[in-house]
Amino acid sequence: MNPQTLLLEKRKEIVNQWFDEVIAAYSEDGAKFFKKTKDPFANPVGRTLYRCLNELFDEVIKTDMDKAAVENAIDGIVRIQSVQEFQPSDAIGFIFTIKPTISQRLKRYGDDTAVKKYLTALDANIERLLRKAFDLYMGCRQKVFLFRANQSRDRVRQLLVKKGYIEEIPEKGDNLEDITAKSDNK
Amino acid sequence: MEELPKPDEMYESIDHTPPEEEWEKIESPIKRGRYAYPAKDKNLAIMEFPTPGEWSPADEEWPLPDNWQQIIHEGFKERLEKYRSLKIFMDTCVRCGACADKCHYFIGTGDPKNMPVVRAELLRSIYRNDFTTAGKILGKIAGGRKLTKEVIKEWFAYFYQCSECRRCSVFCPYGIDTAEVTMMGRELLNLLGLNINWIMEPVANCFRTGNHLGIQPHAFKEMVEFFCDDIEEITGLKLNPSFNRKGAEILFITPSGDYFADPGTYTFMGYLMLFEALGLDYTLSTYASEGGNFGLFTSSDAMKKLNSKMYAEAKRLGVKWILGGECGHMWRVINQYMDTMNGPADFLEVPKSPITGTVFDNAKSTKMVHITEFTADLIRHNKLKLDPSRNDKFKVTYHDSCNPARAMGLLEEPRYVIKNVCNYFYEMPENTIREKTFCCGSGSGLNTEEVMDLRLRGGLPRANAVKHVHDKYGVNMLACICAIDRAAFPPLMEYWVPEVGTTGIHELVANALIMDGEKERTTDLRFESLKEEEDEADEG
Amino acid sequence: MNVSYLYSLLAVIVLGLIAYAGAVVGLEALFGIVIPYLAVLVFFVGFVNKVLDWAKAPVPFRITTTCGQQKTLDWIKPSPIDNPTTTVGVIIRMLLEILLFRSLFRNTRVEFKGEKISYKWVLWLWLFAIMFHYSFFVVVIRHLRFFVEPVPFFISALETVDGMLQIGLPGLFISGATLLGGATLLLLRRILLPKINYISRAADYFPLFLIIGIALTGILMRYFIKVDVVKVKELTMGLASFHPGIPEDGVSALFYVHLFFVSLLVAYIPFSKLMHMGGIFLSPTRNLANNNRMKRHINPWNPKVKIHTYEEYEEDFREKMKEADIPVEKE
Repeated sequence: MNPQTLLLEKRKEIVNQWFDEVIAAYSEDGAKFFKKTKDPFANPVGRTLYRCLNELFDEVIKTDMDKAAVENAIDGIVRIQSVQEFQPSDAIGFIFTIKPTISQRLKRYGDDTAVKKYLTALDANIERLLRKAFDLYMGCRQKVFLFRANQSRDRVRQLLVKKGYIEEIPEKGDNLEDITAKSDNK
Repeated sequence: MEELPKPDEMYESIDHTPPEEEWEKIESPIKRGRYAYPAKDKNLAIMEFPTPGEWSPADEEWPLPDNWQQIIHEGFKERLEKYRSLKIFMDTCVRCGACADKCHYFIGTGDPKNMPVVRAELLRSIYRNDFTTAGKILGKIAGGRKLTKEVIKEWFAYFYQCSECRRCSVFCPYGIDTAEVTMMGRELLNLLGLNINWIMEPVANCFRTGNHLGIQPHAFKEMVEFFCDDIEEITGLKLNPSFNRKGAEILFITPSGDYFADPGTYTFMGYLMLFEALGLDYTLSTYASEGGNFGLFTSSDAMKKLNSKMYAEAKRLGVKWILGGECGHMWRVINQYMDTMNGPADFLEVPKSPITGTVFDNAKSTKMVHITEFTADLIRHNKLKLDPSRNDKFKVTYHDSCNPARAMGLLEEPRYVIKNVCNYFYEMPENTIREKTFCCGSGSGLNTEEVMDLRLRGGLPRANAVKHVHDKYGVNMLACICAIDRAAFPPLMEYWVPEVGTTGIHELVANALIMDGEKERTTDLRFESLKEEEDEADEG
Repeated sequence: MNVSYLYSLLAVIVLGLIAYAGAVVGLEALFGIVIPYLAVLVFFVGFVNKVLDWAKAPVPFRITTTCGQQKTLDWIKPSPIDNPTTTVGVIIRMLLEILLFRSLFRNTRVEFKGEKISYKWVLWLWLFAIMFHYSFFVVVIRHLRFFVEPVPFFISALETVDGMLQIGLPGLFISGATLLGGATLLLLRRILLPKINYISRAADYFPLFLIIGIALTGILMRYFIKVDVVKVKELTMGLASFHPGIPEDGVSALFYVHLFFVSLLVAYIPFSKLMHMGGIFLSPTRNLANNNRMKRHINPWNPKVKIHTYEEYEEDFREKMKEADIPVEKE
């Protein structure tokens, strides 16, 4: 018996449960709206979370995760939750909830060595997700603060530049964003 | 920058258990870092608003005058007597829920108080309690509640979390317009001196100096001349726009965002180039150097004070009519308030395009024409030499700015212009454009940096639709006709769809415009190569 | 979960029992004459009062919500109804709103079929609302037969159409069933849909329960208990002709419950959200033409405000303007 196949069979059920847990962090009415409204344009939050959780599920149960796919899926979720007034631990909290959801499904086969081995590998996967999520979350927050800082700064600076009071050295990298962009995503 | 809460404070303040309780019972915490900074006294004073002194929305005790309840009650009464809209909107809502999921702030937050119906109930509950028979007798059962300090805080939190975009009003079977409710709510808060500085400072500046940023006349002129230098560099042509010139045929007014901040500045250059190519007899004014009107977000009196300058200046300069630039809420004021407040403009003539001879009968009373109406007419009459291939590196989509869409119906003119100056144009999904357009998330004076998070999540529905056309068609440029959009979209796009830039329509027009005697162009207005494959997204 | 509907349900049940008990202990005159008259009086005074109150408040600004292309250049096709510039356009817009609930019809949802995007209308609310309101309308018209003699032909004709299914005896009126159905669906929507449940209050459930009560008692009387219609008409004709009287050997107590519910509903209208029936006509975002730039709208209280004049402005900046070669009024 292959644990991965087993989980894939229960894919919909597991992802739905996972999704429910993630959106339970919102107000009851918000959560219901995020869950029920299927139109991705009328409900970008719910649909994006759902899509990304699906994608993430497909990766996390693999023994060999696709790095780009993982990053993509986590980014979709974290990008939203990092501007929704969540605490950092909550914004990446969706990663904590997948473990019990999955191991619950495999409990029956707990004595099977293949399953044991699989679960250990899963732990490693989840750890990797956590690291990635943390980086992405920080990247998003950093962006938000950069936007704030840039807006404050540009209010005055653009005028000074236009009035010719200050002269910039004309090359790339003079913008705060450009400088930090290099350290982003690394 | 606002002091950040301590970690333990933050931790204690979180509570993600879903609300079991009715909204009336849920307090609306005003958390540090999620509100806009309060208005400064000096800015309130010049506009004759009460001045509460130094305070912060995070304070436990707000600086309310002793008789604050009386002030609100009387202010509410006065407005009920003055506005039928308010009375009707207070009485007729049946809470059918058609609006509930139409607000971009609700869609982005899931916070039930951001449902338009509940936002209006914040005010309605007080109305019932204080002004209706049923509410006076039955109180809570009839949906009333007492006016407490908590209510004031809640109003402040949620009336400054509404961008007055009127999307909900499109779907309401009674046409209830939350913008109107929010405007009344904000007027009431103003009676107590509770406003945000991001709105009040532009209002005060506009009142005294003529524009939101307080740019003085000589500086305005210098900035425009700076644009002319850039234009000369790009086209080889020397432009010489006039300022405060009496006897010009047309007065041109545009929001200050267009000459202050990128990418609006490119739109401004676009206007200048268009007028030059036409040989238009127009002038700019330093006194009326602001198209926008943050008074709209404050009170009807403040709106009137600021708006009065347009007609006053047109009269003083003796122009025939006024041409208005690309701005959203500016056009709500012009289309729905200006003539009523500061008209009749009997000293002006019915606008007539000096190039095509078209008479703008639709503006025969207000005597002010929207620049895309003007340009669409020019293109229709083949008066512009255009090379749309100069915009070929742009795959463009168009964002209907809320006010021109829902308070005017300016839907086809901008599209017509874009389609004639660009070869690649793609529409976003139907329920996110035209009268159903989603707000940029920063309207009604909420485009301040303090509430960046709110702006980013409120703008998500718009960005999400842009992402769709980006993924599907490779759209890389978001065109709009609003200065707030042009300020709000760069960070919004940068966050959600980083490959998409922001532009005004007249930037695209000027890129495509072949001017007599121009040298061969190698760059667009941003000094970027015309043929660039990978264009650099514009910076915020 | 918001359970305020229970209070409303309880209130309606208690009110029903009161009327029933009243009729049983011989208070027919109270429930059959006094209360209906009072209710109608309250309704008229309240309704007129409310509408006058609305009408008294001016419409300072023309704040039309435009839902289509404006009328500008000749060659751009305007939307004369969704963005009207003429009175005719406004009237059609209002008729569509009032008769067809146009705005509720606007809900569209996107669906993806593979790569292809498709739009579909979400019409449940619209459907329930139409069903409910039109059934109510037909039921009210049908009941006019109790207040006029001879019964006008249009009522009989309406009854024929309404009863065309020819189910049961007496024949089932479709409108009665759809009224009950529509009200129940609207109620279930409020109880079961979380967003709607969240915004619903006692004031939303009460009239629904009341109407369901009216429909139920009406249906019971017609199809099951079979009250003496001749007696009932004797009473209602008495009311209508201002010669009220309670028929001998009374009509069923259930009739008094029905009548009491109707009285309550009628009297309740002016003080509640049910006034939307009047309010919709006066909504400024819908009943005004978007012709603001063509025709000046007058604000009766247009205030005089202190403005910052050009002269004051030039005082502040004259020197700087002169230096920058910007023309000034006073050298």
